[in-house]
Amino acid sequence: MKQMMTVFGFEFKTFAKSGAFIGITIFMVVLALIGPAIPRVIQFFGDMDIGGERRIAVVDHTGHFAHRVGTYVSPTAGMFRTIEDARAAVADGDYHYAVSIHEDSFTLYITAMGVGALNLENSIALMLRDHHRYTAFADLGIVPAQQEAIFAFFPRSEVMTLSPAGEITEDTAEDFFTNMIFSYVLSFVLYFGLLTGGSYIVTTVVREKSTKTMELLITSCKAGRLMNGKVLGVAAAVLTQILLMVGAAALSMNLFGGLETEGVLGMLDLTFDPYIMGMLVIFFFLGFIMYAFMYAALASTVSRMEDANSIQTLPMMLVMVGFFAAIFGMTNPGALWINVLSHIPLFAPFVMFMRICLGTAALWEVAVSIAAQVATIAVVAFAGGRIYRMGTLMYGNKPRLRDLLAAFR
Amino acid sequence: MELTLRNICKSFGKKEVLKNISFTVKSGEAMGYLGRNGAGKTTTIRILADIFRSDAGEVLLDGTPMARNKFRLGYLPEERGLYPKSKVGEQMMYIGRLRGMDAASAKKNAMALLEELEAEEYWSRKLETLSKGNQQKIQLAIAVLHDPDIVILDEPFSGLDPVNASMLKRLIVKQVEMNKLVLFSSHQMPYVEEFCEHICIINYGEIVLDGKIRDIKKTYPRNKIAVWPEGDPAAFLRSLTLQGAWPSMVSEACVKNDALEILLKDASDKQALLQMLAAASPGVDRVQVVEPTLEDIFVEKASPQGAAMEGPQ
Repeated sequence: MKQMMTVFGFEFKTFAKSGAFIGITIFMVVLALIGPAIPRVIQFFGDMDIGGERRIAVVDHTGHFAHRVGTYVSPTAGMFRTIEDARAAVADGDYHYAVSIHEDSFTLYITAMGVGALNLENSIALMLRDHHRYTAFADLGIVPAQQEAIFAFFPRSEVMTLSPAGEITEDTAEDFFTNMIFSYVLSFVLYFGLLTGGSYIVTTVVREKSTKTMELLITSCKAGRLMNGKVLGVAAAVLTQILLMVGAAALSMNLFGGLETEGVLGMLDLTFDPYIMGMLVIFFFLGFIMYAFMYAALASTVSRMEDANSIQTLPMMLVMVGFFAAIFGMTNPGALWINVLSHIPLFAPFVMFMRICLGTAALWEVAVSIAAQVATIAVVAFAGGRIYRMGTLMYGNKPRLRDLLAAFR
Repeated sequence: MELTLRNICKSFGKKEVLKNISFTVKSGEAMGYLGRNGAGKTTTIRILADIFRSDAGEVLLDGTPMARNKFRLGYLPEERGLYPKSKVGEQMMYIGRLRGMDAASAKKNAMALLEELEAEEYWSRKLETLSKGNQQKIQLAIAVLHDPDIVILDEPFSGLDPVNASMLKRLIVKQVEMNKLVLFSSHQMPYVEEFCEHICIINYGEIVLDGKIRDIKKTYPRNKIAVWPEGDPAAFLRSLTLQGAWPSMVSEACVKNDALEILLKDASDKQALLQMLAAASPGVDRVQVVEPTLEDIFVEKASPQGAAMEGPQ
């Protein structure tokens, strides 16, 4: 244990002091600090907003819409006499769009296709449709007050979340959105954590082998302790990096949370559920060390830096399966294939955590998943230790499967 | 402490690298383990350091199978490698602590060793900023940092300038004086000859010579005589060849530097040769029996022909 902790401390310190680690940490913390603030800052200055509402030059050939454009389309809309004038205003940069409206049709002029243009097209179509309905009702003798009452009707709705046991939970749509964000966060963080941490483990193991430092280490400490200390040290460093980033994001959200936000911006007002946060740390740590052991064992089988990349392919492919399953599975977290994948320890850090976030995982499933991951880590660490012990002293060509199996005899 | 290798065999694939290797080293002596490149030295050393397992045979410590937790091992690998981006002091502390030292004693020993090797200024420097020779000194210091019982050094002198080699030599001699068991491989025969009593030569995976250098040299015929005449050696040689007994007594003679080197057909003819020299004119300054150097012995034993020859054991 003492030797493992010595390796742990050395690896943690060496990785945390490396230029790549410091650079990435600073970048991620800065991004986490300014990321949540950007939409609010933009909104605060009021130059443009995120909802896609932009200045529009309107030519109304009917005379019905001048007073409605502000409500339906944009409060900053400007009225023009001819479409040529409106298009010239767009060309001058004073307006973003131009629209020519007739009784039952309209033409929208845009400079580039985008979500904003599509939304605008829908808004104008809605305005024309409503005008058509009002006119039709009026022809039928229904007075404007009655029309308003008819159109004002909108059913009250409620979405209730059921637990896996069929009971109504207290989760709201906002909670769902927040938790979905956390599922994304873990998927990305684990993915990128393994990209940097896993790659660091591979590089250091291969370098220790190629420079024969491994011989010195192996005569000073048992291979299993070396590998465990290295994996846990790097995992702790990456976890520290993640916590710094999450802390920076939380601080930034807290600082900018006082501003009035609506629409897309409102979605960033996340609430931190202690259960989800706890699970995030647990699933990240389990997922990281499970894959990190795999990286270390595989790295020990090659002795040249040029082979270091190729041996990362297998774990990276497994990571990507879990990563994309979690991302795509969010659309239907109750699907059978998601359920199955979430119980496979290699994919559980991504998929089971996604189910936890979306409230489709029962407590017993979470407990079984954590236990299965711990057991898998023990197996991977044991097998990895044997491969590491044999692989660290294997020089020359890449090992064959037969060589790897020999490690277990 | 007595370290014994008994009938060690090791193969890599179909290649038989070690064939029944056996020798014994004792505490308080330095054994030079010699051999050509690829002879099997490093493989033997890795088996001793418990990096490899042998296919057959046993390694015994004081007569019982060697257990790694029963002694402290100091090891200097053939290819030097530490962490180039880390500071020297940090690495020394790290390895010291891995070998069971507490931080205070690791630092104390490391500083003392660096001072002894005139390298104390490198404590806070990154390894990659040091010259190759200085990096090697750090590696050697790391090998003996934890006061090991057994010190195994694979090619410790390679790449060192004479000043650093001399420092290293002092450190090894000190280990021997401290009753440590020292085993090292080297190609630099003068260093080996200088402070090794015991050598072992391996050739093509087999031990071809094992014993005390003095005893080994005694097994060679003492029939080579060096003579330093008062006058010109070439003229002196010509005068000797005119003596009637010369052809029956001498098989070869030549001038080497300022001396004559005479190879007698039989070592028992030394007295007759001395009488001949005493009677010669001009006189003789010095006469000496020439023993084979370790290099001569190594070349003889480690050459392809030598492997087939039966040398003194």
